[in-house]
Amino acid sequence: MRLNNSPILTTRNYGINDAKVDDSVFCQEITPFENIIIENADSFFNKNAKKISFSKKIGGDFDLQLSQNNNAVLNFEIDKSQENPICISFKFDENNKMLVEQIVFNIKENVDAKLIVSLSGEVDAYHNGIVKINCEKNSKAEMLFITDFEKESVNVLRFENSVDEASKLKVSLVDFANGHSIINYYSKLNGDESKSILNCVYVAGGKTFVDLNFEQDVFGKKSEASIQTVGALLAEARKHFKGTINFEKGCKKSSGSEDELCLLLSKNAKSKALPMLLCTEEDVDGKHASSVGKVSEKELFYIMSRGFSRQDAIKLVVKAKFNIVLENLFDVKLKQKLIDLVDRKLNYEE
Amino acid sequence: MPKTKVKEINQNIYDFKNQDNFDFKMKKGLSEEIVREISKKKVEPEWVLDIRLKALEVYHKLDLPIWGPDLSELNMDEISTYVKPKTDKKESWEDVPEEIKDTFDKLGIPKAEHEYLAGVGAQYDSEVVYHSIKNSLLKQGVIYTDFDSAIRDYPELVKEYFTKCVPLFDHKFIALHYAVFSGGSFVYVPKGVKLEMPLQSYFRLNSPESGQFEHTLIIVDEGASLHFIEGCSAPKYNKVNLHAGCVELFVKEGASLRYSTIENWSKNMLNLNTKKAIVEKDAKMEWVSGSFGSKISMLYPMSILKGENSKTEFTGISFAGKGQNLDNGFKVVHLAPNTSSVVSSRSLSKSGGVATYRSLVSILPEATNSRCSITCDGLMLDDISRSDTIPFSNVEVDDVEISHEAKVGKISEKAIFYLMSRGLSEEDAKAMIVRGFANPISKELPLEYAVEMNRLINLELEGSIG
Repeated sequence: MRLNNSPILTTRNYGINDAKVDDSVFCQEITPFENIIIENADSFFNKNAKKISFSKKIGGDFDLQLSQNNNAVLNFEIDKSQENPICISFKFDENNKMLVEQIVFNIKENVDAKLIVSLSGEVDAYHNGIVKINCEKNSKAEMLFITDFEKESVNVLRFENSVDEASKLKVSLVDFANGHSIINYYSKLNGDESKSILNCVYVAGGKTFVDLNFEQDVFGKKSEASIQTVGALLAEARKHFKGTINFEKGCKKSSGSEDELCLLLSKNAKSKALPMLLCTEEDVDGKHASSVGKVSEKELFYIMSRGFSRQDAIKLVVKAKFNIVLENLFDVKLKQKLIDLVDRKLNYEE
Repeated sequence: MPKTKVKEINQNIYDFKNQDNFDFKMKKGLSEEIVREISKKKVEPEWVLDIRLKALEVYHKLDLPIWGPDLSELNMDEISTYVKPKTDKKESWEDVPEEIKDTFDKLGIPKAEHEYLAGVGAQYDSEVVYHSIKNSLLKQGVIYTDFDSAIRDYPELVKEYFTKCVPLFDHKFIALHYAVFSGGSFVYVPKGVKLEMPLQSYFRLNSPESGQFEHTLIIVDEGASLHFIEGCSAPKYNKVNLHAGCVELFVKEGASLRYSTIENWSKNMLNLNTKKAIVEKDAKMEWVSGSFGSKISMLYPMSILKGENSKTEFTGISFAGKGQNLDNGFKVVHLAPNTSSVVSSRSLSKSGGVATYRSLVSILPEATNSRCSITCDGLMLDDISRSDTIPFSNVEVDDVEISHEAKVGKISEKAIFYLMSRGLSEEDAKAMIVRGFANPISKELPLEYAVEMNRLINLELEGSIG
């Protein structure tokens, strides 16, 4: 089946317009998922929430399953700021292997919110989900979303965000992909002076296939959209990156930037990238940069001359690149934990 | 600061038309009968007809592209694929019929030939009407002739290379090209021969509701070098014209080829041209491209870096005005170790024009230690135009470096203010900035052509401040 269509098509034989995956990736029978831990959200959690509608489709039968056969719907109406982040942990185990969930965060006017969602487990997990973040006027939301599956799994994830006037959304997406990881991220910058930042880091090994389709549509004036992605591919991993910043007519004085760095840590890893800038408004400042390659030999030589092994030197460089993206993460301890996790994931044979 | 508005131009020096006089004009449409008749008119050998018929079959099997500009207005039933002008090929301008000679005079071709070219080919509608080459080059074994003559006079050489760089199943419009191709140039530069002066072919499409399908085949043998210039224009008609030419370039070991194009097709033209080069060991292929005309353009020159240490560079500019959708770019495939590519592309859009940069960089497993650097900038001159950047990269080996940078936006108000504070009018300041934006491309052209390109930019910018 073909998933995660690019918003703009290009030549079919490039193989980037969509993600071609085997039908067996889709799981028909969904069993209950109960291992959900929610912290710091008592007053915000709407237990009577119903299913939501969503417009961004990922394709195949995944969308129908998500709307009709999900096993978790979490809705948070966040109407006051608080110091501690709302944390939602989905722990996958033998009895909780399949998660088809909808999560909605409605951040009310003038509210600051910090959100952490993590999916982890040591089983062959199946995940099909959507996160919707609606930032009302003058609100601010920071989210950290982590997927960490130890065994070969399926991760199909959508984001569908709206960012209103003078509000700011920052999402840090950390994907320790294993198996299939198909991610569609969409943000609509509705309001003037809105800001939407997506930072993504990923590490993929084995025969993992990562398909990232990130899009930010800028409608509001004096707004700012940013997509920054850094990843490392090991073994025979493959990555597709489709990034789009779309300056719609009227978004005067807005800016957008897209930056993709893909580090190839194996000669058998493969990277495809399609970083797009679409512009129907003249008075904007848009730019993108992308680079692909292995870790610079000069950098390695410098570090190795300080007594590090080659593999440790590579790890050090990769972590430094990741650190740039994860900089300013609201939880410093968590950031260090993530960097340590990157260190562990990078244990490999060159 | 008041908003600068740039008027559309109605006429330019390219937009003059002769009467639709011809020796023969094929009935409109595309069929086996028409393909056979073109071949018969040209008295071609059987193997060429076989290629035409095979291509027609492929054309009918392939779909229109699912991407890019809308091509739905193209109706092959309304296009005449072959128009023979009222003359044969001549080797002296004096022998070319007055009306056609006058056309090329206006375009400055005889003058250019006299002053700084080593050889010239001029095509009018479907046939080459003039071809010449300096004697000194003939003595060195250089072949520069029209493609029909090459099929007749150098069949083995043509057979060895024809369709080998651009196969007929590449895409729908290349299949169309091979079915009805006519005219074009053939160049062979022998081993070690380095041409100091460029060769130029000029393509003029005068006949309304017709297509031009010229085939250009260039072989630059080992250690040789060549600069080839291609120019094209047409008067504007109300109905669609089609250009689906093909350029096949072979750059042998240690050779170098620069292929420069100034394209100024009329704004009713669908320009669906295909250009590709195979670059061997230690060879270098340079593309310089200025794209100003056409209603729709889908043009992506391609270099296949087949040999170790081979290199390619692309320097291009597109200028999309009112009613134009220019979807241009560059493609490169790295197939061998230590190969490198450098791409610099700029596009301007105004008066509702759409400029798209679309590219491919593919680095395959054999291409270890290869490098690719791409920069593409889009400049929008008003708020009703569009500028898109759609670059694709595919990397299948770790030991490479690819970097890509792109920017899009408008002319800096600070820069306009600065120039105006030095006494320039806003219009002149803006024109100066645009010329500066195009400078990386014009500096790669011979002086005379750089002047020509700047003149085209000035024509496009001609207007007033509102």
